[in-house]
Amino acid sequence: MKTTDKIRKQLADNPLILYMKGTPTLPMCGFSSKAAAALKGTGYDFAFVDVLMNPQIMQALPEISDFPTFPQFFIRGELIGGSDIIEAMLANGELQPMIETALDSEST
Amino acid sequence: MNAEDIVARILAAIPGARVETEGSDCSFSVRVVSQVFEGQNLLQRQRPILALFKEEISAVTLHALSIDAKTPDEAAS
Repeated sequence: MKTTDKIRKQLADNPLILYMKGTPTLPMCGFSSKAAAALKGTGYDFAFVDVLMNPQIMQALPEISDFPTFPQFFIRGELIGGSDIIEAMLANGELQPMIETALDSEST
Repeated sequence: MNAEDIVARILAAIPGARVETEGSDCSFSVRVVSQVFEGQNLLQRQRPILALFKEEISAVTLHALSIDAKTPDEAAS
């Protein structure tokens, strides 16, 4: 499968997905670590892709998402942002309801 | 990359913005204050600024660029 198709499938299959350096339990970059911690703070399970283990995805995703840095968090295929945006939205209370709405519309 | 280059590039894209940087070499945080951010969410504000440094970021000559983009009203409060 082409890398771009693989990414589109991941985005379609996973309502919440974080593209990060390392894993939530072993993040390899401070920003990825913060993003994963903030998402864990919502209490919802999220999918993740370690872009360090998938260099083709690391190269291709910025073109698809129009966002050059990692981590990148998507809700239902839509880019929400990197670590500072995720943290800001968790802090101002926007993140939780946005995830709830996305998961509700998923199940109906 | 040096701070002057970063400021100059942002100013060329957002004339009249107030731009402050912190950091050095490959890791910077930038504070940008401009009226153009009015009505835009955080992603809409960051995207065009990050796009200015796309090549440096993908070549990892710029490893991290944190952007704090505010309107004058938000910066004042």
